Amino acid sequence: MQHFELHTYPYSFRIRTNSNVLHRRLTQLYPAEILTSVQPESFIDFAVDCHRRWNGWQRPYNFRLGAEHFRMADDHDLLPCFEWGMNWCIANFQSYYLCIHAGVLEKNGVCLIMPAPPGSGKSTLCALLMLAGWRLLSDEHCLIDPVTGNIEPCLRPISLKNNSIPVINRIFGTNTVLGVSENTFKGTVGYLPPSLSSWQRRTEQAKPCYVIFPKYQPQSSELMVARLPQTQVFMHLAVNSFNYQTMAAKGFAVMSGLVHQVEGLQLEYHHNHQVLAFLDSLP
Amino acid sequence: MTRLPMLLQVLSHSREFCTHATAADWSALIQHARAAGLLATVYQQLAAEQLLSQVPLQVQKHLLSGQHYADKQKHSLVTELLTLESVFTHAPYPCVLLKGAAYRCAGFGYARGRLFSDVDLLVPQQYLDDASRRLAAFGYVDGEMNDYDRAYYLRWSHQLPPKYNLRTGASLDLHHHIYPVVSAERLKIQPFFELSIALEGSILRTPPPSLMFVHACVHLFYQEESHKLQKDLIDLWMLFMELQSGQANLLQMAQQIGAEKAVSYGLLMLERIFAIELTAETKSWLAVQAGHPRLVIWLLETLLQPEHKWHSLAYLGWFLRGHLLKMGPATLTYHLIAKSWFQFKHKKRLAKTQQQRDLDDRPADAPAQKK
Repeated sequence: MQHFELHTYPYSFRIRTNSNVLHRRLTQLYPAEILTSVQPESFIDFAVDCHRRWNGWQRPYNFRLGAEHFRMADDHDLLPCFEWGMNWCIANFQSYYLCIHAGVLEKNGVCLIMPAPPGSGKSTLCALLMLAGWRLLSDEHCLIDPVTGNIEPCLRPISLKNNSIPVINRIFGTNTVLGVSENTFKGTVGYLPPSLSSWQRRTEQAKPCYVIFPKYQPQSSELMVARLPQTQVFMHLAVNSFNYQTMAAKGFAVMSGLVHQVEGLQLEYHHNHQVLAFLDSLP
Repeated sequence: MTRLPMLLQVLSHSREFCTHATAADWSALIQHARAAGLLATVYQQLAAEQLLSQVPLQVQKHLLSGQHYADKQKHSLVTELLTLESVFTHAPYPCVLLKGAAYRCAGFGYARGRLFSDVDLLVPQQYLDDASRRLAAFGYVDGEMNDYDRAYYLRWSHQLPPKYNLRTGASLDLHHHIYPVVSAERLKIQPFFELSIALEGSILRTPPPSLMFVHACVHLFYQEESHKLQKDLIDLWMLFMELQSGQANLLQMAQQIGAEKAVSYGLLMLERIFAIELTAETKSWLAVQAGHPRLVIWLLETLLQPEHKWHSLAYLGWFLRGHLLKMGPATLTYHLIAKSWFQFKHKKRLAKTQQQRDLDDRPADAPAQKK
């Protein structure tokens, strides 16, 4: 049985697993100050288990938080299941922060929220922006601090799927995307670790400025930008939130506060570089 | 008892716990409370004792998350109760809420943090069919269950097979008694109907606090399960503090129901763990009660300490004792054999289908699915 800890911000995990490869694979993705041995005197938010259970004998790893079962995994898809498991903990078991399923990036004080359904290319765009010098706050969880109204970073490696892996590797060199697992039920999954500056500033909140809804347009080659009314931005964000309903009145208050301080833009694009150039030009 | 489990410690000795807790203690507390569904209970207790300022912010975040969830459950409960209001309009018999829903409706402060998994409703046995028909008309149907379990509920138990609301998914247990009718204990149910109090402007009723306490004692000490003992003890303690009619009235109620043994165990246990104050009259009453207080206390306290060397023995003892009380030896032997057979078949099937269920339940990853 292996024990170790992942001190990601703002939540820390303690992991107990009978896999002797999980820790090694995680060292590719997390720096040593985050992926540590057990430190008995540190506060742990989520103590998770990743080993076989009596009634799960067909597959060797069962991701669990307390008595709650998340999913079973084999050696070949253990890393993605583990990463999804951590996402599941944050999405389901915390409602201190209003949590929106969205990527968050920041450059020179301009902070973008990119909500999008899975498979829409959100992660690829996040990766391209980060590699172009934007600071990544999160690729998955946009956490709104209910006190400051700012975005709390929730920094972890960007999860890339299928075609986006060769796209990134082609532009930035092979082995940019690490920990690639094939034949998971989402296809091939790999991870792009955050840039050094993103890691260094992983506890620094950012003030949200724009909510960007990117949409790939196969025909037109012009970049189309449309401003969205606040009500639409509100609804899009609420639908993409994990805990808006659980937070009830407080969720509404935090969401209203957020929508009042951002501008919503829909981008229809044909080439990635159009988006990058446009976002760089935002005041 | 050598060392209280952490959850009971933080509730019974809040100030001491908050002053001395290390980061490791706080971590363990959050994990235990989350697993037991008691984050919000801890939050309410620390707030009531004005100790939240001593709780590290990172810990508060989790307690508050638990409170948000409990608040959301309250909204669902209100929706469900409004439906029941229509279901039982002009019903010519008393409809009495039990347990969590009753604690909430009675306005008990601590119930603000208490989670519950279903609504428990008690009606007189001769009106069970009418109540079932009314519920069915509003979309409450029986859940999936094998024939043996269904027969078990109908023949021996104190409730019908659990129902759920097709529209909202909420579950509802329709009771005609608080304890299996097959049991030799022969508890009386009539006082629950006669003494229940109508909620203002509602068809629904709640038992007086003293009867809630008696029911909680029966639930705790006549059960065979042991995974919710901490929550049950906390319920008991919180209910004790809501008793306004005094201990003499409580003892009288215990007698009326015929649950003196359970109530005496309950009071003894609360005195040991939460140091409640018992009157001289109660103490002399306790001294003459039948039952096996020393054995029951040993079982319970051993079960509360998972590291105890006799834990497994206590587990088995508690399991057999609970079942024997519910059924008597002949019925129990039959039930254990039949149940083991069905469980064996069920688990074999479960093991085969668990992997498929993972895929069926979560075609995309769970966070995305949750929307």
